[in-house]
Amino acid sequence: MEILVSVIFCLLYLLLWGCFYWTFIQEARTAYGHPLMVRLTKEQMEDPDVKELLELYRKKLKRYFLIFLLSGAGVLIPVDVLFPVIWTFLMAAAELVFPSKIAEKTRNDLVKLKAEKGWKISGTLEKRKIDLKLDRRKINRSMISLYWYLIPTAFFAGTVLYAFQSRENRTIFLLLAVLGFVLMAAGILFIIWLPNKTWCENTQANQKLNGWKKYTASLCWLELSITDGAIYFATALFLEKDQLISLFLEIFFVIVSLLCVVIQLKEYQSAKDQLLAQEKVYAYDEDDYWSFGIWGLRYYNPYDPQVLKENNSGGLNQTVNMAQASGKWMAAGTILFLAVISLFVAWQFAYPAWLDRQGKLADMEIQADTLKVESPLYKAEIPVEEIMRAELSYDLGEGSKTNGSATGHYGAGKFRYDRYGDVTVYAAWKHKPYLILFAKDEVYIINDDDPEVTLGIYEKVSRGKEAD
Amino acid sequence: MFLELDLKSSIPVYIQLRNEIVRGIGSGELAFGEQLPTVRSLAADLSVNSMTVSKAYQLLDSQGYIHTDRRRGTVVCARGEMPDFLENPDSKRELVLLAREAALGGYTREEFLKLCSDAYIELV
Repeated sequence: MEILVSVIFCLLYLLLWGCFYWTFIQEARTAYGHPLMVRLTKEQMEDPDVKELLELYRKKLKRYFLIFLLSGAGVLIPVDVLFPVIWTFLMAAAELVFPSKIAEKTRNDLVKLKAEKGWKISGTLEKRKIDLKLDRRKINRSMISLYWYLIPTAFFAGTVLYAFQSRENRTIFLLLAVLGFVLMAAGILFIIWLPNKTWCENTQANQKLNGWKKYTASLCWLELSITDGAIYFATALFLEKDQLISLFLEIFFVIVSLLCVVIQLKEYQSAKDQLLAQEKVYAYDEDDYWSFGIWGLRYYNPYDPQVLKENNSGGLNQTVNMAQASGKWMAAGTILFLAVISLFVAWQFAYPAWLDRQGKLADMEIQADTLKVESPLYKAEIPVEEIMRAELSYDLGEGSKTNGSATGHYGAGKFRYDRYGDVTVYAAWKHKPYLILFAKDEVYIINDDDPEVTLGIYEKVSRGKEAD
Repeated sequence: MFLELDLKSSIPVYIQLRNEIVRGIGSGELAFGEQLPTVRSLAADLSVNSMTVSKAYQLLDSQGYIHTDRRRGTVVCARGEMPDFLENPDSKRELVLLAREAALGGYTREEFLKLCSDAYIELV
């Protein structure tokens, strides 16, 4: 269990590290004409001074991120389960704040260089050009047929059917399938409502590009929706039979889907670049509205009615316009969402660890012919007269959770063990022994976080049964 | 037809939108009878509220430049349906104001008439 927890923390750390590294390194990309959100022409980006500044930024970033990567070993220090959580949070904050400072400095230098060299971009965002011949209804005809979305819908329906006939995991699969379907529908609506963009002064090129954009977005969303549905369906089919097959299928679907999406996006990008290479592209100078704060890239433009603004990722990533009221709400919502997720993780993992350290994780006592198992995380009562036999065990053998909750410190809910079959568990894992109670209709695995109490209850129950 | 909107300007967006569409029709970039994008589509592309576009379309409709029907959506009116320039009392006032400004700016009558002549496009 300890190794598994360490592996999970390592993967989580690497995921965060990778996300931050990718986010910051892409800011220096010149492909979209605004490295570090400073608008430059193709010729200006070929200037040796610009190249040197960007190269220096990349070098510094790589050096910092190598240190962050090595610091990741901190999650392996076997102190307490709380330590890797705190360490990951601290390192994530460092991976955001320090690279932001480097980006801020490089951006300032780049803006200064642009001013010194007298490079001006004629168009300003306040004077926006919009192609009136772009109509959303006509452009939406380029999307793939909505009938294709029946494939993921079939997977979601299959999962719902499984949930109805399943004894275990019924609610969770039902919720997942419904949520998956709602998410898919929301994504389709989002693509349908996606606004058209005026790239250049050629109407035909604008129509083509917007059509390609909708086609690529709808195809990628179909691939992701199929993956989502297929994962739920495969998990539902194989979770109880063979967890290894279930895991393999999940990983397989994710890899195939991500590969397809990356290929589609690359194709769109290269077709777009090829088409725009022959056109006069509208360039807007928005340098004054972008900045790097300690929390990363920021966009504040009161003259831009857009709430979501494309950053230096070619449309893959968006930044919120903090000058708009809805932008502020969106940012607040994101922070709130992250705070809720963090609290949930803390409640799931850190709270049981804290309870365990305080000796309050699991308490058992017999009161008026009822065996009470109590914890701030669960509560159960087992009538002593229903108990037919009691066993004490220091090794439960192979088993897994089928419904309920479990961390490295406690388990509560339905489990399945090779030795005991389907059982109900209320246990503090780090405090052996466990008491196995064979009742009329159910088998319970319970214990107290004080082994002496577990032994005492075992003796009481056994003595009572012998007397019967 | 490309609209150019100045989001920093003190002129409301719906007025700018109305002016740009009239300019488009007058320059021939928008053909008579041509369909315009739906209110929601144009509002999304401009990233403005649907009400702003709706207001501009209503103004153009009331002035007789465009009309909306259920079957074809919003379309530019036919050549013969365009409003009479002098029927709009503001038109003459604005022209007079421009002429006065040109005179104050040092332009001669001939120079001003040349500017008007260059700006005027004969429509078929």
